[in-house]
Amino acid sequence: MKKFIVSIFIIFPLLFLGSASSYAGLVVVVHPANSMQAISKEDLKRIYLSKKKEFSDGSLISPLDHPKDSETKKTFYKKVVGKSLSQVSSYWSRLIFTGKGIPPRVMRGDEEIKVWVAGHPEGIGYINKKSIDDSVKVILTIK
Amino acid sequence: MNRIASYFSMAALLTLASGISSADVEFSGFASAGVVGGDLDVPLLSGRDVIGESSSFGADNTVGVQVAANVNDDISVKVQLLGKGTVDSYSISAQWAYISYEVSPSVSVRMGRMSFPAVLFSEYQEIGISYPWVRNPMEVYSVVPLATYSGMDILYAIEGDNMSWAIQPFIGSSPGVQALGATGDAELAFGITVMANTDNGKLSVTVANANEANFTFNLGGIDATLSMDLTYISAGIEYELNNLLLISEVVKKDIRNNPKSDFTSISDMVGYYLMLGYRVGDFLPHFTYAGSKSDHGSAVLPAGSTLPGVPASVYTTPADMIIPSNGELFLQKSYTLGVRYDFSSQSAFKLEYQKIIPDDESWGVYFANPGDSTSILSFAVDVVF
Repeated sequence: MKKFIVSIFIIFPLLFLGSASSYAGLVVVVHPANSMQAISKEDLKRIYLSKKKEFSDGSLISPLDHPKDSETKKTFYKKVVGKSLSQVSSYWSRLIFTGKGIPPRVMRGDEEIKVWVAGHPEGIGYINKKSIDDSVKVILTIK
Repeated sequence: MNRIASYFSMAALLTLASGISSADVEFSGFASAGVVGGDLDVPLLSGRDVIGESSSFGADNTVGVQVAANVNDDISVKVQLLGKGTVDSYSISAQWAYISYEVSPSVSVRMGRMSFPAVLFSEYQEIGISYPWVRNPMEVYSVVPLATYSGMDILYAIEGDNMSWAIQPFIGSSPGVQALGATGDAELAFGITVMANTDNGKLSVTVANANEANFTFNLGGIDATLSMDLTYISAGIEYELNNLLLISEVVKKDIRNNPKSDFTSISDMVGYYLMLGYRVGDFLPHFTYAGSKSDHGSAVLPAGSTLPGVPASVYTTPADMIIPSNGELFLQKSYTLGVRYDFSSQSAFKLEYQKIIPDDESWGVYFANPGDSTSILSFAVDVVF
């Protein structure tokens, strides 16, 4: 019985650790040569809804996205855009079929996004914190 | 003539499209399937279409496939084919077929065939997943029977800090369209939409004209043609605050130059609705109140009258005819209680109960006796791919 109580005390904190580590946070990344040092959540939201299409220097922005229904994508849209993926999909259906907007380019995941951003100064993407490396520059951490 | 012009533009689009490598071509689409039932003894009208008698499958069925090809960074070609179910048949048409030229990130020009943009959801009326209902409120959407036009428009986007503006003037002509038993077309269609967007919603105002609009009705085996100039003035709002969703529209149809203004079967009218919804996770329960009104009441056309566009030698009314207050949409009010459930990010399930109450002496949207009310239950699944 004592052993059981002790193991509960050990396992419980571990469970919390486990759930905490599954979301370590997302970061927004751009090309290292991009002059932008930081971005507001509001601007980021507008970029991902195709309402803001240019960087402050006038160059075009190419936003990158994760595959549909991915957990990373779900978290990003909930925290930044404030919409569920089904609301986002309804939103885009109005623009795609009327020629009024093109949704962000869909990549396979963090690695592909880093490679694309590292090769394109106009690129912007979001990746999991643990995927950060020197090939890209972090301009926002999403908690 | 319009048809010839549209064939030419289709040929131009196809020629352009054939020069594009397959890597630049994107396919996407949307579909809706539904069933509607209720105490209907006659066809019920949905928007521009007759949706069915008694319980019927297929009435709300729609499939749209879009092929988009980028010629270069600035020019793209889009063709959208639309298949629609009516009471007992399917029709397929090129709903959209146009070339889009992006002059700058904030200005683009589209040329070809597009939706006639008279009300808030005109451009995506067929895309069920883009709105909460099984079908848009018919009190507003039946008022505009012209579905598409051929011509051009300009999309201006003006970015502000907390608000953005979209201005969309258009001009063209509207080809023949079947609406509620009448065939309509307009020689000259033009107008402008101004839309203000904020993070929480949008407010839109549109003025759209259809000049020399001709509607041919079959009355007792005789085709009667009414020619007139139409002006639609509409305002719409879509607003979301936390979990609350509000959508409301008002459209006013003004008829000018109606050569038979005493013939009251087609008259000025106003359609409106207010929808309130509340999101609970992936569920959106909603309630809509909608209505329509007109200054003109029903009229009696005495025996021996001629019909517009039909010489007296061909036809005169054999007996007194009751002409309802509006030939396109009979006046009514309706209450709709529904729920939309998004069961995946690209598909939604909708269930709706609607109570329709025609105005006194009006026939409502279904052809029964004036004053009868009815209830219908609709169910639909919408997907986007």
